[in-house]
Amino acid sequence: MRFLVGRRLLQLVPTFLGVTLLTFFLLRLAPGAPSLVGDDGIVTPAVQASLEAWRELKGLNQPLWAQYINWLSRFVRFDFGSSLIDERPVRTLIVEALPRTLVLTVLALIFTYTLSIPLGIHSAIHRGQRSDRIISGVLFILYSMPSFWVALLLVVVLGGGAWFDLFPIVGLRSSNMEGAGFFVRSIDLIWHLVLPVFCLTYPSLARTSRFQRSAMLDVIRQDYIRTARAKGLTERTVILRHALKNSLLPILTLLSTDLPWILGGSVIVERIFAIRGMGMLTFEAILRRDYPVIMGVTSLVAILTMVGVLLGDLAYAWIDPRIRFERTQG
Amino acid sequence: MSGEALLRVRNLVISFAIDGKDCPAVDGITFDLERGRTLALVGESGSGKTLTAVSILGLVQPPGVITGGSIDFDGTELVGATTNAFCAIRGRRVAMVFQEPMAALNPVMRIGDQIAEPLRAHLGLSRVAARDRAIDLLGKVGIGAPAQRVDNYPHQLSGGMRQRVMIAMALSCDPEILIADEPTTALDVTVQRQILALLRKMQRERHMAMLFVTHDLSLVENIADEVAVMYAGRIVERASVQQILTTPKHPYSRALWHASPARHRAGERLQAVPGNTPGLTQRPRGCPFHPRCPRALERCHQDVPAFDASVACFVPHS
Repeated sequence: MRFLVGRRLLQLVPTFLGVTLLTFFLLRLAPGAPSLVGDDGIVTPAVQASLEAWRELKGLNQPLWAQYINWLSRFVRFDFGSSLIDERPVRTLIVEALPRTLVLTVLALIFTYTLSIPLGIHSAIHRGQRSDRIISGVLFILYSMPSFWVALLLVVVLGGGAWFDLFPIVGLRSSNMEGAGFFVRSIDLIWHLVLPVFCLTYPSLARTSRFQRSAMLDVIRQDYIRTARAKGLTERTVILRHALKNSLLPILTLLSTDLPWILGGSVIVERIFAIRGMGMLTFEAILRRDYPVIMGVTSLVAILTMVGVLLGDLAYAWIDPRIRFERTQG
Repeated sequence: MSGEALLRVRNLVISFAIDGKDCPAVDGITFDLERGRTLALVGESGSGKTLTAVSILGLVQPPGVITGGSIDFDGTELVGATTNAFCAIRGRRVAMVFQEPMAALNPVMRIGDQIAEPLRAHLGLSRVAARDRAIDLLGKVGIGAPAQRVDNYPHQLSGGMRQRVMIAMALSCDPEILIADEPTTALDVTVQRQILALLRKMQRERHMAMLFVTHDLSLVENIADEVAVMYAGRIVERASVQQILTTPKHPYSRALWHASPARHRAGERLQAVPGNTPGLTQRPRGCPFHPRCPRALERCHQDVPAFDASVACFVPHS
């Protein structure tokens, strides 16, 4: 087991190199340069000269491979560099943005799974019946509505636009919160989170619950479910004790595919609700060709995703004893 | 037949709706099961024998539906019984051993917990008491080191051991009827014999009634008292084991017996029954066996032979 974890950790290295190499070179293949110059595009010789000096200073005139090696050697020493635009350390930028994204995505994820799994189980048990059709229908309608549209609709309807003024629509904190107590600040945060978390949650419900539904349908066809019924267990026990655990295995895989999103955030929702999280950070860095920021975010998300997938696999072994067995063998 | 029947199945019909038509997979089956006796249901796949077996526990899966007849268990009508009524019987008074022990055991649950479940559900045993009973049962079905094995997962056991676990689970609450659905089909030949011997021993010790479902006529000699041969959802012959094995009357029973490897010497060609069991939607008119029957008469194409004393055939062997 320990051997396996070690081997899997080693396997992360080539993946990491692949991800960063591709990102690095694709970025430079893309047209454009770090934009210090205004949109008017007027470049006087003086500006041109200072720009050249700046490029030299930032090492942007070196050969690409040298720049990559340079970046990599600093990265492994946890030096992520500084933004080309505002000179702030990339690490600081990420440390600021990541918690904002995490509070959104983790909450959305918790709501998605705690709603989807019971819905999926219910649909599977009542397959083809009215409640299954209603659940499927509603979830597909939600799934079909683009989140930018729903988000804007919510802003207009509930955010003080045309109808109700129930929820704040900017950022995660009210401006008058200086000196407020922890409780008041928490309530304020939750109040700010309602709309964005809703926008992140509703589209995933369909996917996850359909996944759970089909996993459950697959499991309740199995012989051991018939055995459980033949023992005289109640239907509730059969489903909760025998079927549920087996049906959660595929869901775990789904969960690990959510990881890049959990860390990377959603550009659309963050932009509409003016939350300066990872999505916005990445988006703006890409627009401005802020190479160190893009590389820092990409590498961090890649590493955390890979570690997350590894943790997911370990969780698999925890749920399914057959995997545990094969591993001690291997 | 002597004694009071514990289970009386009368004219049982189980149908599947295919293209809006009711197709009976089990078509008017009648048999009795007495305490301390073993009845073997023998037939090819598709004959409806497993469906008959699971119907006794109310486990016919939709789209299959019991559309007629009755199953009387010790005075209780089971056709149309509620799930609650079945829950009180399943595992407690009627237990079942299934064909594939690997598939029939929950892969993510320790075998001890799986054996303990019916004990806790039906007898209200505590966790500790149920575990002790599970260890005890594992020992009784011939598993070595039961106190260690009780914490194993199914994949850590061999096929034969898994089937022993299934048997221990089925016997846990001292059922009155044990239904064994092809319990040895998935096992090696040597293990088959051990499992058969175990089932036989347990059935005698506990004076259980046993319904033994198999496609292999050569197995019934060692285990059954009576045999019912099924074909296309009907019982075509019912007789004591001795009679079936020495003087089968129905041409199908005879053909099955001729097809059995046990009757042949090494190197000798097996005599397969020509043709296939008809599918649910292609059941022929008249006697369902007539297209494959060497003795079929004109009449067999038209009329269904009634079950007469021990055989349903217009031209039985004598």
